[in-house]
Amino acid sequence: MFRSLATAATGMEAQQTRLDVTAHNIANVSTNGFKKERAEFADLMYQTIRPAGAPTGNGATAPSNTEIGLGTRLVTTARQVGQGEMHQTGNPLDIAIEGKGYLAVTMPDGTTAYTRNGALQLNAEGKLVTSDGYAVAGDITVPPDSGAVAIAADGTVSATLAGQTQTVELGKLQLANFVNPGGLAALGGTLFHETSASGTAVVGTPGTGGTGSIRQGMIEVSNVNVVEEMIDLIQGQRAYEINSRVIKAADEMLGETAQLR
Amino acid sequence: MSNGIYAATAGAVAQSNALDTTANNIANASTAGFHGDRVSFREALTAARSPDLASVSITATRIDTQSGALQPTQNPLDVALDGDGYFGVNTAGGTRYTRAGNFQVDDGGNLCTPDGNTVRGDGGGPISLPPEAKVIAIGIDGSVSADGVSVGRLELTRFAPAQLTRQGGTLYAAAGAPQPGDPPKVRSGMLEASNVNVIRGVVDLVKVSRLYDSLMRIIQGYHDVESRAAREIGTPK
Repeated sequence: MFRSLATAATGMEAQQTRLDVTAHNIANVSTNGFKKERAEFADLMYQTIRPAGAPTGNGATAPSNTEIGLGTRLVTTARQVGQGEMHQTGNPLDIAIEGKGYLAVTMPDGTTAYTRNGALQLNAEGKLVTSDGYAVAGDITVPPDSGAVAIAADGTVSATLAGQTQTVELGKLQLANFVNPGGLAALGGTLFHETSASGTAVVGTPGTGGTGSIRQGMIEVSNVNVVEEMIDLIQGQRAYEINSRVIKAADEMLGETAQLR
Repeated sequence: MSNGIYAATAGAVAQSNALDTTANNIANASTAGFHGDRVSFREALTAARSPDLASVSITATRIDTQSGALQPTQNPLDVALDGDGYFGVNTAGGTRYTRAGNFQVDDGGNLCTPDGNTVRGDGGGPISLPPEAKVIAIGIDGSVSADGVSVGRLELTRFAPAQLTRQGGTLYAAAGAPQPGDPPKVRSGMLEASNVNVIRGVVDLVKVSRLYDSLMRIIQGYHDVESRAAREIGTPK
């Protein structure tokens, strides 16, 4: 039987995966702090029909390999960590990271997760939390009687307390950096876990040593570019169609063979 | 018995191998750094059967070394080669070569491929990135720097297509010494897309299936002639 039936099936499976990844990206086009993913593929093994250098008769040898490949496979879904667009919201607790870095968040189980979604809020105790209610590292509490909260580019959170004229520093936000942010594991909810591939978190003051700075009153939206995703969708759909044509061609050829008598 | 039926059969086998190669090219139309195969045929066994009858067999699959389109990705660890050449990769099976520059960092801080094989620096050693590095840049000559400090240089080598054997995973094994010549330029933040032209693939597909169709008709023709001969010759009318 033709190898091409199985080969084209791997191609269709790959394009289906690509469509799944694109669908996830498009679904998250309005998710703050979302980083798009890209499906990457590699070719499968090859069947060598005749190796280069094999004698072809009269002392001559084959100049190149005769190899037939067996298709493709998914190798990774690489996260694209490029900056998303910045949207001004005017909300004092919305912060965006301009440049590299992640906000560290303490999860209910005590582990640390990382996010670039800076739509922060205060919980019942006045603690700075993410929109899912997870505490932002630094344990920053805003007293209930304080006035407007200011968050500086270097992460310093300050507020004017009732009855005072001087602003008081409430704490400092720090940003975690990774050698390979694309290697972070997604937890959902725009949260990520550190992995061996991402490297260990290096915590630093925003705006120093390559770490991004903090912009108050802004939100970093998804870095999904709808036009790019649409092109990917078209390419994926067409590639799927062409792979299915290979299966059809192989099937027709087998049909022809079966009719020989 | 006629010999032509064997020539037609050899043709059908060669076309089915060509279909397999086209299928693999099309299946890898989205594989970064993939270079497609081209099939060439040759006359085979011309003298073995009859002096005026040639048979055909698939003779070689050649790697199409034309570069694929370079696509921007913004990821600093994505690198594309602009020009002829390959990145070196250390695998369990020895040194391998690839044009897929979708690199990552492994748990030891070394630059690696998505399959976890370390990328070779000049001299064959890995390229280690310090864990505290914040900005990683790869220059046009393949030099890798972390926060402005050089940490190594990507090994770039050139090979003739005939020296390379495909290993899957967009890796090649090389036989013999690298070719002399200028190394390719390294473009950071870009990826080389597959060089498979799907239009060409579809045209090949149509060509292969039509040729196969014709060959099957020829085989059927021989069959009809011979069955008539067996049935009718010597039979009184």
